[in-house]
Amino acid sequence: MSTEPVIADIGTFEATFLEFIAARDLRVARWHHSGEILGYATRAPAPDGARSVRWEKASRSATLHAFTLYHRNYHPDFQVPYNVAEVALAEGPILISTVIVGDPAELRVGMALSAVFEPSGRLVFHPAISPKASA
Amino acid sequence: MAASPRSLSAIVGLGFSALSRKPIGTIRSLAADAVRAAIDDAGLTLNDIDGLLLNPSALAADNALPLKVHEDIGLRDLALLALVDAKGAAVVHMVQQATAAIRCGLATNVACVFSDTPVVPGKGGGQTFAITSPLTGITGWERQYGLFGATGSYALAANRHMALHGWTQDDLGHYVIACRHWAALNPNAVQRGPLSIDAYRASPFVTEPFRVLDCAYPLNGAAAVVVTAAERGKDRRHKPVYVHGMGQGHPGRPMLASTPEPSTGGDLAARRAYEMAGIGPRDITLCQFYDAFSFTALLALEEYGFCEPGASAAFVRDGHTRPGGRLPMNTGGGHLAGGYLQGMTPLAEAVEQGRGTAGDRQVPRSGMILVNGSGGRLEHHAALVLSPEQTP
Repeated sequence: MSTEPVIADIGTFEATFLEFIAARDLRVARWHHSGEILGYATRAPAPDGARSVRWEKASRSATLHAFTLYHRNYHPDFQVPYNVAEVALAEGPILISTVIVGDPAELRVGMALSAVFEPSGRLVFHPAISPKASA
Repeated sequence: MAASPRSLSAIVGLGFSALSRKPIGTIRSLAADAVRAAIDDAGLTLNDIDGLLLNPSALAADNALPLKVHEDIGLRDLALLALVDAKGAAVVHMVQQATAAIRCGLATNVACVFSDTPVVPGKGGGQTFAITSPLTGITGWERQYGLFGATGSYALAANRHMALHGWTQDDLGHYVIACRHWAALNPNAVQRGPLSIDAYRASPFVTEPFRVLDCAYPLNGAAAVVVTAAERGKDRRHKPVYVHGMGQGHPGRPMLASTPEPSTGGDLAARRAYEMAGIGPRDITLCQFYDAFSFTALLALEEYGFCEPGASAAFVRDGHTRPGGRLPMNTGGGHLAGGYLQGMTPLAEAVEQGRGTAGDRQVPRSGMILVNGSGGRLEHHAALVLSPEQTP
């Protein structure tokens, strides 16, 4: 898998992101001309009219921005309790995802996370293992 | 109090359909009932109404509240007729649009109605609102993680704010208890019984940190108001409630960790409404906030200028928003205890208080009343500054 940045038009933002995800490649977007990081909801050209977006590989490092624990079943595909998380990638964008933990009591806003693709292709996050803990 | 530069319009009619947790009619029929009731309450006739604004719930079926409802009501030759969609801010938008239309001469007397039937047999109101919440901005992204319902998306916002400011679960509970104090004084409230903090803690979680008691109590029904020109307000059956300031806030920021928090439009809507009214938050003596969740009202206290970020929990816990407190808030019990008619719950209570017809829960009719609406996941805000006094 290439690690090179990919330049794409802002008009293909969502499709480009999802193509990377389908290839299990987490990328973040920047304006090509300024380097400013973009959120995943970006659809409009830059204020100066620029349209080129540079897609770079994400570091896969993140922190837990917020989480909620579902106790009510809204859909049979999801058995409670389960968590839904806002995850802030180290580069800045926030994604909705989930944190894979044995005990939800381990969840803390600000905890370090690492991005992982499950066998199904779903992007999830695991608590980051610190160098000290893994030594 | 600072002098208001002018009164922009007057709310002169308030009407409701039947309200219930049981099936009582269609969104369309209930809307017609509420509009007729509001027109009668204003002492007007159908022939006097030349504008109608309609706010169906964002979750209602398409065409559940069609433009043709004006024919059901018996309104003819309207000069203004439109659907208004701005999520939970839509009711405030309707009053703002009615005011603008009246002031530019497009219409004279405008009825504004919200109607919804979220509670259906075998399906609680919570299920009705359990659609996927699109927060990331990528179509369908949230579905794979089970982010269903406003309860989940607002719980995320609450969790973040609580973590940043060191709030505990009980900080939400004290707001719920404050609402019950007001609801006990409101014969039309749906949750009037007293609530202890222990009883709050026993309420089951829905989406942590929200318990059942942190969430709005949905009702089937409709409510409507009639808006007219400020100078015509005093001619009506009830004391008018004047509109002095209006504002909206839609910041449009993508989700980035570097975005200043809280990143909603509440501060924008507040600043614009206060500026138009020529006042500041210290001139507000009564707040009616859109509180679909306990957290929403606490955050509004901060964003609308009454508390520093994070300080609303202590403000509420110390009783300042309860009966007898220095800033009465959601005096009908709010969405949690008074009943959830989306933006009409806070607006209707503001009208009752402004008229002086709020019975045992009536607060002194002096100073300015702030009403807000918010929707999406807090990214759309609208506000009104009201009072019983007309200014030149």
